Amino acid sequence: MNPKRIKALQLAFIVFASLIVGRAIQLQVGADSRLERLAKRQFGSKITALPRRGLIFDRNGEGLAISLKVRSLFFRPEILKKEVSASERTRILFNLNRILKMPLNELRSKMNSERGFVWVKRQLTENEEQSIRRLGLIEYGDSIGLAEETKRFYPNKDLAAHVLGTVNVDGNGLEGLEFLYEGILNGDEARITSNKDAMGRRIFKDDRGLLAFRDGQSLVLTLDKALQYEAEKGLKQAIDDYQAKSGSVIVAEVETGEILALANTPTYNPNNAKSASLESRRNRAITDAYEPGSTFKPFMVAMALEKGRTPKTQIYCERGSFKVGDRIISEAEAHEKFEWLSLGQILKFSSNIGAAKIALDLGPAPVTQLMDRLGVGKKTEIDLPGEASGFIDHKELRSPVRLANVGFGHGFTVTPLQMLTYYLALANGGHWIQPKLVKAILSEDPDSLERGAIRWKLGHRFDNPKNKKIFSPKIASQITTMLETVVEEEGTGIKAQLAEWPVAGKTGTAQKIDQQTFRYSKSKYIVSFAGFAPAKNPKLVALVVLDEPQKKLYASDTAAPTFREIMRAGLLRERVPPTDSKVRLLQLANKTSIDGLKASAFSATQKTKPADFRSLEKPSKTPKGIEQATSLELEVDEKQSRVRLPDLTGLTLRESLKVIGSQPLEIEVVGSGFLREQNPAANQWLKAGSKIKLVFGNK
Amino acid sequence: MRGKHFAIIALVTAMTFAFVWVRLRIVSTSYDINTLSKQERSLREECNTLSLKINEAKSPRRLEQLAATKFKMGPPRPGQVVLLEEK
Repeated sequence: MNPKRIKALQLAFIVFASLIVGRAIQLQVGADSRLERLAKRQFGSKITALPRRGLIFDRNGEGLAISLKVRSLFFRPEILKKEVSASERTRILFNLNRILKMPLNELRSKMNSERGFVWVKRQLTENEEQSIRRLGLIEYGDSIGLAEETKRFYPNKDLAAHVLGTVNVDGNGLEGLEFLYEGILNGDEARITSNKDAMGRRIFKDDRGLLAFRDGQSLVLTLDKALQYEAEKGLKQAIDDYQAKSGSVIVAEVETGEILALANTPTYNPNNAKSASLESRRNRAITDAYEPGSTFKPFMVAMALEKGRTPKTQIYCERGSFKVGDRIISEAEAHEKFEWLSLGQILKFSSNIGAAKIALDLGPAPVTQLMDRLGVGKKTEIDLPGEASGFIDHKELRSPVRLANVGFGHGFTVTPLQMLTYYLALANGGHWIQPKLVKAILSEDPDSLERGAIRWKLGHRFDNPKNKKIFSPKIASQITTMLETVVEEEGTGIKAQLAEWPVAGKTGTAQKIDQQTFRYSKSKYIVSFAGFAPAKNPKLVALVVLDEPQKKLYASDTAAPTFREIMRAGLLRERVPPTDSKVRLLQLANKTSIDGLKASAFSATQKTKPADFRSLEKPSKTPKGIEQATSLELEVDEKQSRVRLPDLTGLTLRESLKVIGSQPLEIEVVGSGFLREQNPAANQWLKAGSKIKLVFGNK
Repeated sequence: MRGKHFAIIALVTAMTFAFVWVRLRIVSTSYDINTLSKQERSLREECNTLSLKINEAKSPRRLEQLAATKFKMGPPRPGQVVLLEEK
């Protein structure tokens, strides 16, 4: 080849190579904003890291609210119309219609929307998401996609619904603790910048973005899931049995004021809160103030003791009718015509006139002082939103009629939670403790909690900053002794009596205001029972409130037995050892043989009159709590040495034994609660030494 | 003189290779972190899902129903509960 040609070719190659190298240097080294923009779009990536909402646990680390990642389906209608053919769009519509069970018209209008972004369905179920992926419905570029979101789940469904509250579709708290602790549970999201390689894999440049990221913190509640369930079950049973409109139950630990259970009926499932009525979503235990009725009497008596009266102080109860101004105060039941009653008896028989006279005797100033000390008309400031404060008009206490009304718990209102705190104070030797629902906020990874409750790292503990003394320990102890008699024989609260533990408590049957006449109704009541156990060394305090029971009107027949069931479940759950000698009787009662029972309950009688029937002595008065029991009498035929038992159905074991008295019958006792069955049947003549079987149950 | 030039060229070459190697390791480690992060997220989600299922299975209502129907159990009667004292 011609050397000149070779040199020319070499020169051409060098020039060409120089141009390429020069261009490469220009592109790589020289600044070019257009290229920079293109590269950023192609390789850059921004991720929004969504925080996980904090979990909610009960006091034993059992999950009450958990968040999971779910997917939501969206359209980008503009891109969809440009990039996807009409036939494909139709296929997408029909498939989504089948999978999501959404109307075609709705789907079509979303697909044809003028907006740039439209949610098709938020928070898909697992099956829906899988079906969408399987059919390839999201393989149309950016036009259709699945976005990651979190969804709140409440694994125990309606359990503690009013305490937990609920969240909206965006995961923001709407009610209950979810609302109150929104800032703590929600966490902080973070935007992180990264690069992508040719394969689309992310290359993180630094962790600056992650520093701002914070998962939501978790809450540990004071609630005990198992006891909460028992409280809800007991309350629902009572609402059904007595056909009440609604009700509330609160159980708290005496020493700390921690709420172990807070239940309301009607209730709702927070997993599906949208379909629940507003009525069922109301936390009545803190929002519904009511006139407490007789459950307030112990505090009036406590004030009388503080002002120098003694438990033996006698008050004349006017034989059932007491005129104050132009009003006549009577006892709860017309047949009750009490004369002289001690302060303790006023509580035991729940005398309205006695309590009214105590209030009148005290005068407006001490009663106002009492209300202030208890905090009537002031919120307890429990960690729940929407708490009511109750109401009292202190000026009205100057009127004797109003003052007398306040004596037996009318003329002012409190919430169930407020009333519970008053009994909590009595149980605590006169110290009022602020109730609380949140035990701690976890600062550690909540997953460690689920692996073992002991390893909790508590970020923040809640103290009781507002504790205060409202009565002296001596007065609290005297009131406790009086309240124990309420749950003993002849007391109004006998159906709250527990076999294993002594109970101190008080019934309350308060008339409601008739919304039409604006007078106290004679058929609408709010019944309640408040108390604590074991009486002398209390561990738990509880309150049961039922609104307008229809089947039985009085607290002694409705709220008291409900309290008994819930308190028993609580004491067993808290592993409180039985403290009462009554256990022995009940242990004997559980035996299928009569020998033990005869040996203990009837031995004395048998020694003197081994095979004779004796007429039952009638009690001196007929207090309402055991009215049914004492009005039932045996028919005794002493000549033929035989006896006829009445129908004992519905009585407790104690009441049944009281009716049978010391007659020499062999009694076999099965179960506990109320008598469901007696064999032989009622009203049959039984010979001395005959066997009778009494079957007890809860219904 | 020639040896000195050779040493400089060798050093520059070694430094270049070291720099490239370090960059490659960074990218490779970043990939690994990314993969492990995805795996961690996925396992965490699975853990959360299982945790939800455990809590649903431990629901008191369900346990009571199972105890009553499957094992014919009921609440203890008075006197049936004996608490043992710890020594």
